[in-house]
Amino acid sequence: MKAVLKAVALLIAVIATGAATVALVKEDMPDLAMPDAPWVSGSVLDGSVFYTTDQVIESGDVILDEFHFKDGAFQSAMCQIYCDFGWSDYKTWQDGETLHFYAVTRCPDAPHTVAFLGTVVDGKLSFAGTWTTRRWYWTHQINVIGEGTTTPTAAHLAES
Amino acid sequence: MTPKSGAKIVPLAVKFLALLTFILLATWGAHFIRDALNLEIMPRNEQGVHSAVMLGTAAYVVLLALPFVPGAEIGIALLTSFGASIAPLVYAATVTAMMLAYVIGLVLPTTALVKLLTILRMRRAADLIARAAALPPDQRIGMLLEEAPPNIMSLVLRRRYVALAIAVNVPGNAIIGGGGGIMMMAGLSGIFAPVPTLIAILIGVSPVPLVIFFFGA
Repeated sequence: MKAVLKAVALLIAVIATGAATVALVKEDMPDLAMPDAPWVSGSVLDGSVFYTTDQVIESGDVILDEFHFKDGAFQSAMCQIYCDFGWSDYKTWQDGETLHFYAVTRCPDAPHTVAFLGTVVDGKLSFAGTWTTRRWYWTHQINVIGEGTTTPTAAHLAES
Repeated sequence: MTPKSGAKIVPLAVKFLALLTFILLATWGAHFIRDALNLEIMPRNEQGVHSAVMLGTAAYVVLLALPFVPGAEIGIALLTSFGASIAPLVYAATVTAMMLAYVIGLVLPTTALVKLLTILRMRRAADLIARAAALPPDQRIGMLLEEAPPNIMSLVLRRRYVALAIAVNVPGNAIIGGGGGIMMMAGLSGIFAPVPTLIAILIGVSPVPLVIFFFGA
């Protein structure tokens, strides 16, 4: 009985040490950072919906998305579909004609974090983003860029 | 060149070419399967990939711990599919599998082990354990090396932890039971203490995952 307990303890120690080592040595990838600027809580874009065409840099996949801004909060329609991200605060700062925005959204049920950094100039939104998944054994990140306006394209209308 | 030596070279060359062809086809096949599976991890499939990785890792640990079961291929498949980022997990899973086999050998009575392997229809593994059970514990590890040259036997007896680390890592060890069989026998032998065994395994199984982790897939 003592040998069995010793063996079980050894196995538990091996598994725990292994899991801790994996978690420790995995390479982290930071989310797209918010650059230093006089950011303020978002409100300028409230009530806007931008229909964006996005491209995943790693795979070349094209994604049609909708960015919703309401009551100081931001929501990506695709994030909502994939993982029920909900609404997140957004920040903005004005630089002449260019309005900068930044938002970070997190999936409540899985370790996904999506960061958006973009600009709106003359009603045209352009952005870059990172989708980072931090599992205990690895961190995976995809990068996305996109642009859109408040007018849906034919592709957006066909998809809706 | 005598006609006799020429007669020896031709079959050797044919075997070499056959091996080269097999390696080329296997490499092409691995790339083809990877492309066909479209393993780019995207938001839409990440949850599925995560479940597959967890399931694959669990299967890898269990299969690798069993004698004569080719479980290493799952680890190679994971490394081929996901590259350097999965290497730490594959390494930890390999160490866990080896230690699981060792602990099974250490703790389970040989009769129970033979019964279990027979129920699982693993006749070769059951035969191996049954043969080992008939021997005194300290002679069980030597049983695996009955056909080995004397210098290998001498290394096993003098530097058993070094020999264990080499044995579980040597390609082709499947013919004597594979990593799982060797570790189970190490546990059964009673001559391997847990902590030095763990250290030997930590070092022994590290080359492939470490190379992939540091230099990429």
